[in-house]
Amino acid sequence: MNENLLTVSTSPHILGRMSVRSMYLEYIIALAPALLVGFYYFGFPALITVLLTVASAAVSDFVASKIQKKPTTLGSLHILCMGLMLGMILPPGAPWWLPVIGGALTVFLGISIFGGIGAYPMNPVLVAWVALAISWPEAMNSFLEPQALGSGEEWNEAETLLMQLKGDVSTLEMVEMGVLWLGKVPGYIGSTSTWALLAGGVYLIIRRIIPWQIPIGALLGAIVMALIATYTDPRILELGYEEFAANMNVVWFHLGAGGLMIAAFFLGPEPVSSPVTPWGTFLFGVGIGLMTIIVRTWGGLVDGAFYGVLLMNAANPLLDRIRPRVIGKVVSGA
Amino acid sequence: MRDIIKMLVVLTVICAVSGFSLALVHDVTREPIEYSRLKFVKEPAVKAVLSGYQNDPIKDRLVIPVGTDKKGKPVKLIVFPAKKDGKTFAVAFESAAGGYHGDIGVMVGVDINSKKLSGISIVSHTETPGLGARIIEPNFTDSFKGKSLDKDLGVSDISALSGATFSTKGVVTAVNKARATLDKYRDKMVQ
Amino acid sequence: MSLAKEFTKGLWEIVPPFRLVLGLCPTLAVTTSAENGMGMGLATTFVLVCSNLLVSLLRKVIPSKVRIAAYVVIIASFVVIVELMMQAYVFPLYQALGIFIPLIVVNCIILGRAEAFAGKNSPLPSIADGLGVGIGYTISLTVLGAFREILGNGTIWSHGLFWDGFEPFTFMVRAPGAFVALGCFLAMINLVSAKLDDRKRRAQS
Repeated sequence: MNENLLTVSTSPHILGRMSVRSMYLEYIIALAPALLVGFYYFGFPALITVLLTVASAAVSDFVASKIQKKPTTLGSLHILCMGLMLGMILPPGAPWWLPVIGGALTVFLGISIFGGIGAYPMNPVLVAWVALAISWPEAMNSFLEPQALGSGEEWNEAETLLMQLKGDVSTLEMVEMGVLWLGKVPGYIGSTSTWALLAGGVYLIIRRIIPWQIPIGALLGAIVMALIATYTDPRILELGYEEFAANMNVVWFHLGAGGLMIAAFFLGPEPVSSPVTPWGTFLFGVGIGLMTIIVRTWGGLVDGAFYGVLLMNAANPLLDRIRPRVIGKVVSGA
Repeated sequence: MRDIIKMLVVLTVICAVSGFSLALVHDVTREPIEYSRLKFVKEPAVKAVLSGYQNDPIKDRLVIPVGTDKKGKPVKLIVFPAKKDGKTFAVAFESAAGGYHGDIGVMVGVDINSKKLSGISIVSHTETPGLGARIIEPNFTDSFKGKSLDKDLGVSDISALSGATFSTKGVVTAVNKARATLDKYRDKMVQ
Repeated sequence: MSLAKEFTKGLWEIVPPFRLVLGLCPTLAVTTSAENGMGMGLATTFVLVCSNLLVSLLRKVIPSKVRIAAYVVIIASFVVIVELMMQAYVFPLYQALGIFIPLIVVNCIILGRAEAFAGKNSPLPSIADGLGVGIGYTISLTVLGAFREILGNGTIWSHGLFWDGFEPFTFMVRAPGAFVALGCFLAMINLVSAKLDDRKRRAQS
């Protein structure tokens, strides 16, 4: 009779003012600088790609909610944010079907199949990204030479710095760090500008949307691994760096190139698929950083940042077991 | 005691029958297996690098011992000759060199008289997909065609792949190794 | 139990990968095309029928303490025979299936059927059981393979299906696609059988 006296529910037990909607709104605000830099350097093709991704994700979510006979969750901005993030890690000027399929995969394969927002074990954006990268490596690996907005020149195909690094480590010496960190290099739409991503990430940390441990851990992991690489990899030793400052240059290169920054500040700390405990989040971040540099230096793939995040997502249940010590204890024999 | 003996006898009989029948099947299938291994693994590569022959290069293959490996096992080089009117005019054989990521196996076809490459084909590799793996594309392998093996090839002689310097170098090294092999065993290959 | 019933139960009630969720390793690994799936299924069927027959014939001779060892020897012998035959006469299929042919030895379905059925029944029902389960396995693998091949390669039985310039969704023929496809099929089968059960219950009440 009195079955319902005690309501047992999962966290959160205390309600704050923050809602799913406001949280993802902050996320989108934080993504904006990097996205704008992407639009500035890659212009119209980038804009089309991002718009197609977001639109496709939104439509897919609508369809998915119809199939599942659930109310649509578009109003929570969650889907829009996911679409936006996927758009930011696609190459600018990709063929139209690539972002369309990507958006659909994010929703169907990444989110809906696991039961919707809050239930997926892996970052849906990266699930979709990996599916695309496996299926259409050519389309996912053709990049555009950046040019300032409105210069109206023809778009030239270009290789990313990491692709050049795979073939030839002396790429490390030819890069101007200022240009690299500013984002005027070929790459995914929203992941080239390190400064812009850093600004957005710091904003998220200040607003307490993401735990600071993940990005800090990821950057630390990357720095340590990059230094180990510079002191041990024979190909880099051949370049003959002697001073520590020169070796640090390699670190700056790795922090600035590829997807490390967006993975550390946005994709990794994605609230649903990241751990919750302080140490867990820190190790999660460190894992991302280590994986990124290991793959870049010795692996078969070009960039390891996104795979690092997915791998750590998979380790999530383990990381969540690292808990703060419980106060009080069970007295045996009581 | 009786139980144990029964177990022993039954298991022994089963194993013996099994061993006997396997030996039989192994014997019957040995020849076809060896032939189909060569036919399906090597023939596509051989066909890609040789042309204008009237014989079956797989059937006419020559096996040349080329010394021993680290463990003292003999290493054999299998040469596929292309013949016209009963005379060998070109040979194909495999050569390997390290790429970015493990060895790249290259089937090299050489015209015996002019010492020019009649073609190369990548037999096995583990290069980076989308970068080094482009060595299997015809654009790249075709650029070796007609190159003379009088001297070692360099990366500049062929259309090197941008962003895949190590893989390109690996293939070129393998071809240069093939040149050394050819110089050393030419007489044995032609007979 | 009639022979027909022994045969048909393998096709729906206990169809290995989808209902028993057994034999998953080859199910995931080799179903990159309909042809591979069918090849793997047929090889397994052959081993299954032969081992079922032999185990059933010898069921009174083999002492129960060493039965597993005896079954494993019997199964392993047939697997090696299949492997050698495949290498000799259908080499491309052998190349595609690779390590998974020898691994039929440790496929739970075969030892499972030997232990659960053939060791207790006479030869004819055992053959029917082996055939049924084997064909059920073959059909499952072929369908799964066809599904993955169509999406991931744009072909069915190596015949092109789509227009020129179609870029197939290669993801599906890679490892992660195997899990996605299997998951979809499991969900579908569960959905159908839940519906069927529901109908049966309603008919009874």
